[in-house]
Amino acid sequence: MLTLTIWISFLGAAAIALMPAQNKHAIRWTALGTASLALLVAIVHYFKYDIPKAGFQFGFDAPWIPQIGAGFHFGVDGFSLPLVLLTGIIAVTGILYSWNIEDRVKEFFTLFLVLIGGVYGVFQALDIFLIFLFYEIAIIPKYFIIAIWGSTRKEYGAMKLVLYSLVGSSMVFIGMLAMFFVSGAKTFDIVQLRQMSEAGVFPAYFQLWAFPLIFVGFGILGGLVPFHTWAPTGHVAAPTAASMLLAGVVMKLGTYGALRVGIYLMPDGLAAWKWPVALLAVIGIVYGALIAFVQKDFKFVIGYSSVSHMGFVLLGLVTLNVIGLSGAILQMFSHGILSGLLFAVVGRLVYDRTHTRQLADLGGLYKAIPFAAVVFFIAGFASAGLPGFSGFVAELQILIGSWKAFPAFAVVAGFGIVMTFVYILRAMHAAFIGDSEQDAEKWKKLPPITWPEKVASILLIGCSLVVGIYPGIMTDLIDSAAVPFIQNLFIQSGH
Amino acid sequence: MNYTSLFGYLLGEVVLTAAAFVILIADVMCHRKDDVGARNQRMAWWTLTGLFLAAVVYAIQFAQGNANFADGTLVINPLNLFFKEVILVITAITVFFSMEEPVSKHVGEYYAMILFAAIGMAFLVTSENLLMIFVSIELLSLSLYALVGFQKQILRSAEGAMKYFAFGAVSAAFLLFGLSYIYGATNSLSLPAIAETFKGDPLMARSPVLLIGILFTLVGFGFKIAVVPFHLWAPDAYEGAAAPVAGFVASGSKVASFVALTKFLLLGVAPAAGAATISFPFTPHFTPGWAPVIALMAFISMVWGNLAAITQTNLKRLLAYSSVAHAGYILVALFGAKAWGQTAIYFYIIVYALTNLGAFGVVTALANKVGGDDIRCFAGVWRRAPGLTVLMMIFMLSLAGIPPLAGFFGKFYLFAAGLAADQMQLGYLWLVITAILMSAVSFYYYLQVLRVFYVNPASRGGPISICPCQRWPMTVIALIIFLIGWYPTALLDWIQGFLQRV
Amino acid sequence: MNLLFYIFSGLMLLCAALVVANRHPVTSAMLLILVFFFMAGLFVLLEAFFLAVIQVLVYAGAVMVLFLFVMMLLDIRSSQIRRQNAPAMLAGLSVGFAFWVEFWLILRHSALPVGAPMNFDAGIRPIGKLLFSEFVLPFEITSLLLLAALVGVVLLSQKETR
Repeated sequence: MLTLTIWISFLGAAAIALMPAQNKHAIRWTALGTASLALLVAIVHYFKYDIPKAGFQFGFDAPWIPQIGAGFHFGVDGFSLPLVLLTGIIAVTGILYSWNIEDRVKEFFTLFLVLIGGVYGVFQALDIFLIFLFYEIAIIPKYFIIAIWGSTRKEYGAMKLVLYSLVGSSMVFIGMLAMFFVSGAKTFDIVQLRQMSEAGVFPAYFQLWAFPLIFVGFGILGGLVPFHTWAPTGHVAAPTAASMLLAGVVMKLGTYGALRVGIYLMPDGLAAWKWPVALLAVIGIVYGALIAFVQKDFKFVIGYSSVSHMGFVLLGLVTLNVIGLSGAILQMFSHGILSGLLFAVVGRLVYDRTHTRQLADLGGLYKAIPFAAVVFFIAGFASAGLPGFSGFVAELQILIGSWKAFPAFAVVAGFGIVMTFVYILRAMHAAFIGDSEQDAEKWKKLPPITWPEKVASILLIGCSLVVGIYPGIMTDLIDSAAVPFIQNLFIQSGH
Repeated sequence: MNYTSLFGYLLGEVVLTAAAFVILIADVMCHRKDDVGARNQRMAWWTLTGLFLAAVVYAIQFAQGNANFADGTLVINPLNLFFKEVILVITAITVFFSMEEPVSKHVGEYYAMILFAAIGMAFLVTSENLLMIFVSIELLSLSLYALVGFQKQILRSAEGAMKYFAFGAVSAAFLLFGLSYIYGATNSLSLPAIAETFKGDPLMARSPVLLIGILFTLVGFGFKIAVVPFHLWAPDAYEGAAAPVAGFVASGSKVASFVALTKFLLLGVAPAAGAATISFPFTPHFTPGWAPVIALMAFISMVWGNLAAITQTNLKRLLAYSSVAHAGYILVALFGAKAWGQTAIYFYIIVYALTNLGAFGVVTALANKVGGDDIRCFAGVWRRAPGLTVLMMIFMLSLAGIPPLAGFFGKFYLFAAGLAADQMQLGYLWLVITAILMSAVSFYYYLQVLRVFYVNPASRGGPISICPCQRWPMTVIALIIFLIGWYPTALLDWIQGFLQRV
Repeated sequence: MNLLFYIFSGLMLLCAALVVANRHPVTSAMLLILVFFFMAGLFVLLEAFFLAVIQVLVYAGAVMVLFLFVMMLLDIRSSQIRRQNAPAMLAGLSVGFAFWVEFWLILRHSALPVGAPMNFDAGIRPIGKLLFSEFVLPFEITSLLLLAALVGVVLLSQKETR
């Protein structure tokens, strides 16, 4: 029962909501326990997943609202299982990095777990209505987490993020209602709709306008240029755990939704729109990297790097070949881990100690907190594509995939990778290296790194390393879903 | 049917009337000398007793089967009885809210007026006859005008009541004029009989006398449900009225009016709908009837209601504009296929009424203790009243349409119903798109309210104690909203079952 | 008959317009009485004699006397209460205009049906019978309505002592 992950998170939230607010330590431990339990469930199911059989497994299907043909239908395949795993990892490490929150602890962890539960729900639901429901459940806690515990124009950042997400979800809403009526089957079940889509119930002219509606609607949350501007401001305003969640999993909700509802159900629509989408993705890659290069605020560097890396995901999604698609899923996983780590370094390890994020004011931190410097070094280069880490495998796959589909864009995307090395190095140098005596004096009294921070950082680095050294543990799983999907696509369109 | 059996069918309303008389007399005769607070509580309990007895009567009538007296002047069927029960519940919650603090020193008259309004609502949902609809709307409105003006020491209250009354009087004239034209065109007062006349005469649906009648009737209804451009009374009346009364106006009177409007349009003059569709790829198709009028009212209400709400600084006014917007959303579902549209509207109006009542309950409980009902007064009350803040969050998010609260599914179903009319062409998609986009806009001001309540730094002062008579009804409403949100089928099945047994 | 109809309704409309346009409240009230009289004339043309009588007795008699009584008691100077409000007038005119356009559109797009005249006896006896049989319910509710209005008026007009 993989769906337990959802209910465990919600129950944990409810339990914390009922605990007395003064008992901060018990609340933290309850939250950690809940998230770990959910992660454990996810890991167990990762090993139980039958790769040769593929398809949707650990399913759960119950009638729910027959009036609109919505069912309580859950299940995971090779696309969603890695993301469920990712959610678990980010949830646990996010709580570890939030150990120092002292203000309104109870509310923080309640909202945090509600958000996590919603994210788990989106990744496992196999009914568009249900996906939409969990998607919206995940939006509201984000607002409060950022607006209450955030920094730097937090209310503005929170409101911007929520309004962007809601406009996106409105577009999805319109698209899904249209699909519901045009298919004529009065159902929201993805498996059934997929079969009908293969039988051709969605006429080409319909896909032509409904696909962009759904793709862009979800894409807004995935950082699709030019609707990405919420991402940097939102990430910067958010407290550490929330930026980790935002960049780590919430942005993946967008790209996952675009895949599961948009591409999965309306492949003809994608075929018609793939060039514009690929162009936007490539623009995102290069533009994000360039803007990251000129940022003065450390966190904005990471914020724009997320836009750049999510561009890779979008590019991979629209290649319409196995290796590109599989790379996109792996990049979601990899970027989830690594951006989480980067935000943790910037927000928790550095900002919470130095209380400034201006690159000009930082510098020479290497001596004061060497652990942070090492973690940032690893995470930064891993995300740029250092061999041996997950980012390398994912980006390589995407580049190969896009080389087959759009060679010119692949070249430009490769340039984006080079840019990543450049801005990471720049930030690294500005924040950690700069070795004046003055800096060393300034940072002398920084508090030491605590155990939750160490555990969480090592955990995340470990995940990236394992996938990087032995990509098979993820790619086999992902390919089990990607291969049949692409094959069907070609049988259907007669290539 | 003889008078005795008619009396039997009217027993619920008779009980309510008797309760009103008892209250009026008892307050004057026995309790004149008592302290206002004590009198208020005693009268509230009398009212609740009356409401409870009426509820029991209606419950018994459920079992007795349908009845139709004199051309639809009184129609007893499960659906109507269900709505009567809903109205009793809403009235009871209003009474609970008013219990802690008397709205004015004339407590007897206050509760009697509430009961008169409830009787008007009960008759409104139970009749399918034009004359009855008019008379009950008038009974309802007159009681509400007086209730809004009850706080005589406050100037705003008088202003609100005056505006409400002036608009109401004009719209009553429109309504009566329209109804008389419809009577002239169809020669019948009962809605089923009116629907019958369309069958014999294909030209009837385009008869100008009928269409003018419908247009004027819609103006009258438009006032009751507060849609643009007939909404101008709403913000002032809500702001001027005491918070429980404002809640009552926003929920009870809305439920009754929407039920009557839905019946009027879908049972009575459905064939005269005309069309207001824009089919793909952009082929507008407008034919005369009520559809273009309703579409236009829905469109402007959604746009104007939401935009105007953004600029409000007073919580009650904000809720008033949000109710204008919500009236617009509900109208969208009128285009749905008959069964679907009716279910969607009935579902949503119940959910909406409960949610709104809850929101006004929060205002009732807090306004006096935080020094007013401007939004900024509520800044940072989360520390002083954590429970109420959570409740307010549930109500606001349900109004905004966030899952898993009932408002989400309600809106979803409304908009789906709007599309169901012209399925393959998606002719009303333009209206549904407006609705969805404007409800995205509405998140902004609902979140602004929640931001003030929950995000702002904690306000000073000790914990606020809330009377159990307010806390419990609100908690129950919040629970219902949450449960219906997760499992809307329960309420949907009820409504659909009732609709089949009509 | 037709000629009488046009005379009565024409005069009624004229008087109604004068009610609005006139600046002196008492004159307005007098004109309103005239409106009611012409309306009673219309009822007579429809052979609804009872309604015509009631119209004169109740409206022109009782209600208007009450109106005049209140005006005299209040003693409002005409100049104080009648200030022209140009924007409001403009708004009102434009709404009225919109209605006329709507009327015109509807009438232009469809043919007027030729309805058969309705035959009913509008004497006292049948009306009384109807009031206590078919329309007993609205009739009773009206009494409740009057009670609610009464309570409301007494309450709102009463001066608060404290």
